[in-house]
Amino acid sequence: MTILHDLFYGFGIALHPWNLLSCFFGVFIGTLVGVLPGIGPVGAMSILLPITFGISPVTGIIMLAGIYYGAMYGGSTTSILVNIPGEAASVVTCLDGHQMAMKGRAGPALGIAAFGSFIAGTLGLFGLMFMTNALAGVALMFGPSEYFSLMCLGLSLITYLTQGSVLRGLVMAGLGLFLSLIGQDVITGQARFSFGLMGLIDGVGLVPLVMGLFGISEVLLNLEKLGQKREVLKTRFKDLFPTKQDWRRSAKPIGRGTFIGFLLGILPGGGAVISSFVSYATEKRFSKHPEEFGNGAIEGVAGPESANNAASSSGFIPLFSLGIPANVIMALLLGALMIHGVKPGPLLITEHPEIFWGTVASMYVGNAMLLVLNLPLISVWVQILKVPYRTLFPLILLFCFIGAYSISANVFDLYVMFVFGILGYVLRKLSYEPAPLVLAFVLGPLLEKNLRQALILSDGSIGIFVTRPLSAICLLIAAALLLSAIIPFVQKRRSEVITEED
Amino acid sequence: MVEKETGTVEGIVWIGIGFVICLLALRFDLGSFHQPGPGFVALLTGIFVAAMGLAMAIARSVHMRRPQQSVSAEHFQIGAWPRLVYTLVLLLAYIILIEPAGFLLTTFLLMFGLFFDLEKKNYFWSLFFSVVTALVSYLVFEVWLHCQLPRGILPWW
Repeated sequence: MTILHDLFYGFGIALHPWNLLSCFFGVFIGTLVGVLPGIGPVGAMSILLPITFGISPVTGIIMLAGIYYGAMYGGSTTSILVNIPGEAASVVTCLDGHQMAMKGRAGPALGIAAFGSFIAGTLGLFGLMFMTNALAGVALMFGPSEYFSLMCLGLSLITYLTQGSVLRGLVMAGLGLFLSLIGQDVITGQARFSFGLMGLIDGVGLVPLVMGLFGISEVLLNLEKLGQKREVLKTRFKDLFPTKQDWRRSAKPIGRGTFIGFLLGILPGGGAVISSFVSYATEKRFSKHPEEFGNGAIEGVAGPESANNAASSSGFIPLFSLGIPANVIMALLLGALMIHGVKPGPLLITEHPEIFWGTVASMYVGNAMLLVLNLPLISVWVQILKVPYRTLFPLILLFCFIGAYSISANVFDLYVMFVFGILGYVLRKLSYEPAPLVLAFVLGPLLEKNLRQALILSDGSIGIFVTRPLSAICLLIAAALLLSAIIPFVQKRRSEVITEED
Repeated sequence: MVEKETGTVEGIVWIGIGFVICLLALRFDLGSFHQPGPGFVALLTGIFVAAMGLAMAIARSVHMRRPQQSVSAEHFQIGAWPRLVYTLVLLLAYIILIEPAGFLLTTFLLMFGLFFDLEKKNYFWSLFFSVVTALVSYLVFEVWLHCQLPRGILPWW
């Protein structure tokens, strides 16, 4: 009953006209960036982050969260109609979604993607409500050693799950950790690694770094593909509703996708992308007609689209209960909350119930908005898809510049973004994924603080990390994951799963 | 063979970067395990990066990794380098000029530069898009959202 009471309290906040508008704006922008290839939710959230400074934290978080789960909905449209994923979590939807469209079944593919997303997103929210409370209670028992080990596990997981070599992922995490150390020492306040530059005394800004690595570098990479034309397949609103047979075939994949997405979304390092791949592999394995996969099987759309939306809901659990972001998007939300002076963690629900319950309730509202935005308005998104990238990319660059500048009205942030844009371009050309770098950058100060506190508490004994059970378990799993990546059989299986993304 | 050599070089580069991080960390108080100082975690990070670089170099040498994950010369081709360099120069000029010349003027120039390159060198459309983009972004971000954009040589705006 308490949860129901709290949820009603949350709806009271979410239905406030400003919050409602903010939610609509968020899901609208989310759908837009999901539909448009070339800018993902991370870029869009970083661009719009400065806008949230002038509004209340709950209104800002509602908008940013809306961009995230909105992008999960919108991404499927581009995958199905153009065979280009609007964002990474929709890569797998291309496989069967576009094949369905080629066979004249674009409508049911778009329909089941939207309905599956709605069902999974809504069910995921139930889990978010119940599990955050429970986990926050457990998290109160965590000490510095547990937090340190949990963050190590998160970094190992994201390294293990990113595309390409584990060693490259680890190097990226190391680089991110070093970048996070630039600026004032978390304990003594001493300035470090600023090289005499005033702009580095407070450290490297999260937003210029993320915009550079994801926004600018993405544009630079796409400059090579400017000549490519998109062929958008036609569809009509009345064709969007799946048939009874479609529903029969999709019901179980939606259920399984929701379950898989929810579980993988909670794990630090997991998230929407990996859950959509696991869901696809699971559906293929469960199917009586695995040969249909890749040729337009509706299960191959329903499962992954449900999984990525469930993951986008459950990804909030570690952030709200432990204060640890599960992925880069949650890292940005963590940054946004901290800028507003709100510290996510076990005490968030008691100290700032309006943020937690307001956001959860707004996500129910946002999911309903998305269903309306993505089905009747599909023709509008199709028109937007026809805007050539050569017209869009100058605007993306401009938004990145405005976003980075307006955080502190400091031109130094633009230089930082420019440098990280080039770095991101080079790294991605060399098959280095920037995600471990960003997660390590965000977790870095917390990781350093907890490591040093744990060592001080244990009087210099590193045994504290292995004698405390929870800490030992996290480190054991992290070590097992990293070691398993060099065992030939596991290496082969991991490569097979991850390179399907290509 | 080329891939193997490139991979070894890649490992050596990371060893070098790790070494530099260690040197930078040593400029600060490392403290002890009882009382770690500001350079403590940085030193561990440097050692970690160098160790990963070493592992990379060794792994390449003994062919532990899949060949397609290696960085080959073919993989690092820049498809449209003149446009890439042109765009980067425009962006750098924008950063340098934005404070002295102001948001409106530099944004117009940046947009004109980018659209002119992309709109098949059409002056009219490039001019039109650039003016509209600069004005609309100014109205949205400066007037509506109150982002403090630089005024430069147009102080009344």
